[in-house]
Amino acid sequence: MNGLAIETSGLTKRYDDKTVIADLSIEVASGEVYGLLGHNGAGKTTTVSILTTLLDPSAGKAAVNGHDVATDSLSVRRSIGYLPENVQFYDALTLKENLAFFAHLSGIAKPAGRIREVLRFLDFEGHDDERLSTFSKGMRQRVGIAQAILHEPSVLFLDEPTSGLDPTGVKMLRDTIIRLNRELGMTIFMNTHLLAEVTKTCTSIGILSSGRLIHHDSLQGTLASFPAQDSLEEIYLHIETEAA
Amino acid sequence: MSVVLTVARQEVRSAGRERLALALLVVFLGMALVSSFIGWATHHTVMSVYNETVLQMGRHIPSPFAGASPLEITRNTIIYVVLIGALLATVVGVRSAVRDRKAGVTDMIFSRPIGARAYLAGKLLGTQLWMGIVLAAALVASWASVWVVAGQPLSVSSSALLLGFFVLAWVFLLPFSVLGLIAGARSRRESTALLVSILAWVVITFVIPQLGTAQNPSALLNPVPSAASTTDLFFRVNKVVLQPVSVTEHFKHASSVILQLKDVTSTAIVWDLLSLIVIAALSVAALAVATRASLRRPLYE
Repeated sequence: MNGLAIETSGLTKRYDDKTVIADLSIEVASGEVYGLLGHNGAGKTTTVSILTTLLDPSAGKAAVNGHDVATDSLSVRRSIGYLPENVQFYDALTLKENLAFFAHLSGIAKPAGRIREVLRFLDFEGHDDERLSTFSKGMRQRVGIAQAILHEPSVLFLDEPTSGLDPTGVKMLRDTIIRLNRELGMTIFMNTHLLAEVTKTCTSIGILSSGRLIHHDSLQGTLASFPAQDSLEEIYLHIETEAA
Repeated sequence: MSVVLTVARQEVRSAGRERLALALLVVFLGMALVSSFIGWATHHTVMSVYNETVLQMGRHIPSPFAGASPLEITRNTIIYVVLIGALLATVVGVRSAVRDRKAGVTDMIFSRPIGARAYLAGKLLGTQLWMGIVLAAALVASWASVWVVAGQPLSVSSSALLLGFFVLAWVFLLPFSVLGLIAGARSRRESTALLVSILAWVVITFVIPQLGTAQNPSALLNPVPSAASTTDLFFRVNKVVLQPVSVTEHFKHASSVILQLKDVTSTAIVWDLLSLIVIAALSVAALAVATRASLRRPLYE
């Protein structure tokens, strides 16, 4: 380990003639909460999909915890957790059954104890035997977090984790993300376009525009670099306009 | 627990909570019972005519059921498995393949250290376990109904033959489950997957056997047991090409022999069994065409 949880260099993804990500180079240190910002279609989900080994890059390199995503994808997958956008789960199964499935897939031989532990950490006890068809969107997102951390990954990828949540759900998820980072020491890489959330949770940010990284700095550094702008939202719009 | 067993267990558990599973069970039990009822009704009607005839003729003539196996009563189950069982197996396969895509969990599954082949092998194992449970229930229903109709339980040898028939049905249905799985994994909509797999079922169940009948063209006009030999090139080519893949014909013939039906022309079933096993093995191998990328594709509904 070189202290970097995530490292990409010249990462590019093309579909036929269309370039979705172009020459992306990011470094995320272990223990950071990194927010990848960008408008819809900027390439955020594609980036996460490559880093979670779900997609192969067209060019360039990417490594997670020192493991190359293209040549050592199994090692990458063993060390990461992933919560995709709009997760649904198996409605007909209970919370415990859903989590047991993912625990077994992650190689946890006797998952019952670990599931209890995770549910306690997420303040989610008492719902074990309830079917997910009765869960709200916010509860499902927390189940998504639970399945992603069952195997104690060191890096957690979250794709638009607060998308579609009500303010209470957003706050609960934000608190969870902060606790995962501070109490369990997880490096968190999340895609979002909710800038208010970024200010409250992230330590570093990157801004993607049309597949290109147009800004990459710590949150404090970013705020300090643009004293004329009052908020991260203004900074974001300023950077986007400049890049255009 | 291995990935294959994990996915298979999840498949059995998920399918068991759906209405389709209950419907499947009801249909198969219904098939077994209806088949036995029809067998009994046929037997009863023919024997009534026979008894009346013997009475009117005033002399003994051989009973039409002399030497017939009690398994004759279940003969309609063969065609039900071919028609309804195969169709249901494809639907179960499609449902299995689209379930994870519908639940939006494929990306979470494939972010774990598992491969597409292990995942699909687990899906197929789970689907076939379900089919096995359903066929086992149908076996018990058939066995019990024959006991009721015949008035005595089946002998050990007849019971073993009935078990053999249902095992053969399980092997026969496997390619249909695979067909549904592949259609479900590769289609962008569940409705498309269902249509494609049903179309394939129609071709396998009706079109190929129809063309197969053309192997013996005189049989279309005069269904004599031993058809006139064919000399036309078209029929000869048809025979060479379609006979090995006419799975429904192979299943029907092998089942008729196993169930000791009276009107079987040949008792050799080695080629039938070989053909069914090879096609089942090839269909399992066909699952290898699915990749993580194809399985991750979103489902548009």
